Amino acid sequence: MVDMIDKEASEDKGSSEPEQSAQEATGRVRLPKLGEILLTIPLPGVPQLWRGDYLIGALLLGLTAAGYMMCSVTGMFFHAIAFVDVSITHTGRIIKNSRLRMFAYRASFAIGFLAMWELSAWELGPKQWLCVDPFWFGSPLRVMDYMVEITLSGSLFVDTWTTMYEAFLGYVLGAALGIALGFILARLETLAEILDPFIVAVNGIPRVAMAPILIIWFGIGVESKIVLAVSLVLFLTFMNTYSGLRGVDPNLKNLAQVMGANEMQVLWKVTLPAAMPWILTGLKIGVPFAIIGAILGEFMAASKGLGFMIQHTSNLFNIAGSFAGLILLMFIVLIANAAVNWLERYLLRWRPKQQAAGESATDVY
Amino acid sequence: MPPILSIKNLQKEFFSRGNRVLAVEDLSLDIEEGEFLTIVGPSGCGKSTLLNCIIGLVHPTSGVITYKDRKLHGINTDIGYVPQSDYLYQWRTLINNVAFPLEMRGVDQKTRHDKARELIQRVGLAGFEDHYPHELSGGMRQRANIIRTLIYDPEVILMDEPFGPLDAQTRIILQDQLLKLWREARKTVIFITHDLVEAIALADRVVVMTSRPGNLRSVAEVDIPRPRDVFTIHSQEAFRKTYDQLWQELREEVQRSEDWMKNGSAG
Repeated sequence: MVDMIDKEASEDKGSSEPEQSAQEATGRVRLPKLGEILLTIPLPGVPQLWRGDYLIGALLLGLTAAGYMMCSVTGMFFHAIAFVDVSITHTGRIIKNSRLRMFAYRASFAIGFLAMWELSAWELGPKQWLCVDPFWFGSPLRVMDYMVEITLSGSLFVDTWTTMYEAFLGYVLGAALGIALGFILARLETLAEILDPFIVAVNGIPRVAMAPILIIWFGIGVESKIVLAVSLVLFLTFMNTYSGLRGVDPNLKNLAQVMGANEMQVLWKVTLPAAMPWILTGLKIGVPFAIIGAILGEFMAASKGLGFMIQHTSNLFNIAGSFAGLILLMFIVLIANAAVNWLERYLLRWRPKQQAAGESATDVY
Repeated sequence: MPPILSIKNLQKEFFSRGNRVLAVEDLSLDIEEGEFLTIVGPSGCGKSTLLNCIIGLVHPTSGVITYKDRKLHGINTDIGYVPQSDYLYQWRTLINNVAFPLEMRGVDQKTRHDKARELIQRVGLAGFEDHYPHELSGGMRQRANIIRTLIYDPEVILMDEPFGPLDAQTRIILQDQLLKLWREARKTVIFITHDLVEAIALADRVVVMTSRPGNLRSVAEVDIPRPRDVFTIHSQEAFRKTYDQLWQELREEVQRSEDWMKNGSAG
């Protein structure tokens, strides 16, 4: 009984309120916007939400309605939130496994977001009905179309591979040099002290400012991009390695010597693992910077690569194409992050859970 | 029989904020092979400095330490060291921590793990071999800390307040275990503590040190027959006599150390 009343109440609110106030606001009769029609569809989760949490339910419906009145994009944003909220109330009961449930929430958020984006770009009649013009903002299907196009033409593979190659090589070289330099300078204290201001100064140069010279030196091929990525990753890994090594408790090393370790054993079996959390922090924050370096170089001068592709498409006002490039970049970063996270979890499996490594300064670009 | 370890006119000074601080002054002490020697003294009296000089982590300003008639120079791996807080390697499992000294000596994995497992079992840590240090309690870590030194059979073992951070119950249990291990291995042990009861219960000889600069105040033989029962030793007449005598001396030194610190801070 209560259920039914709630249901009626919520549907009532959902359908009539925005229309009425919209009329009052504009003073003339007009066709309802797409979102308003969507809101009248009785969402199966709404009654439960309504009953479970009156305040949040009312707030979300109100915000959705108000959002549609102002602009279909805002309305769709709140509609998406309401959609996720509803799916949460539902899935929470059905899916008991908490990891699976979290996956379902995330998937529903992503799908909801993409669906709203796509729907907002639909042209149902005159364009000015909707605030989202796909010319400026693209749409998921357009992006997918473009992806299919460049996959077939083969440029997707070439561009993605080029950027991955530059970033990966830059990352590996930069990390290797940075870690090696960290070990050397941690050992040679006087040299470290002499070089300190120079290192800080060179690292302080914005890489965008360095890029033109690097391109003159190394050409417009992959080399200049690799050098840019190296220049970013090197300092990050160096600084973390250096401070990690300097921070190792000398008692740990002394004790190893007392227990019979020679100098090399102390380095490999004690100092290195003790500094590992810091070294890994450097490696972790280096990942996006390797990609920044590669893209930065491609923006300056290149003939292939995702940075080149993004610039090229945006010059042609091919927004869907630019989005395609951004999405591919996003996936590269996600995969690289996953790889480094896996490495960290493996190497630091001895650490108590939920203990973060010491974070260090990362603003260098 | 010549002493296994002989300290002659040991002197050690530090410089702290431009001030010369004399930590140990003209200290001479002979340690016999197989004896259990405990050192008590007020805090800051140079006990740890003395140990660090013996291990070779700190170079004495003057004086000579001889081990088996050889002059000590730098770190001597015949001398084991159990530090005050457990410096277990966080990234190694218990068994790999205990086996660390053997690994450094190039012993193959099976042999060193067998030996480590046996020691782990003996101190009641069986089943925790593959745990990381942060998964063990303070008492468990301290046991690991001790057997890690025992595993490579050093002739002399130095212990710097190894039971300091533990609660009273765990301390007594570990004291009992330590005595058992010592009885089986018959190593020479130099054991630093600030707890006079612990010092007497464990030792053949108790050394009371003066307040800074550290020197010998007195050396007392403990005439309590072994094997001893650390749980009931306090009620024995011989224990009380030794305790009363040493406490008199220790109290004076603690008092002097307090006065010194007050004056030091005032001046």
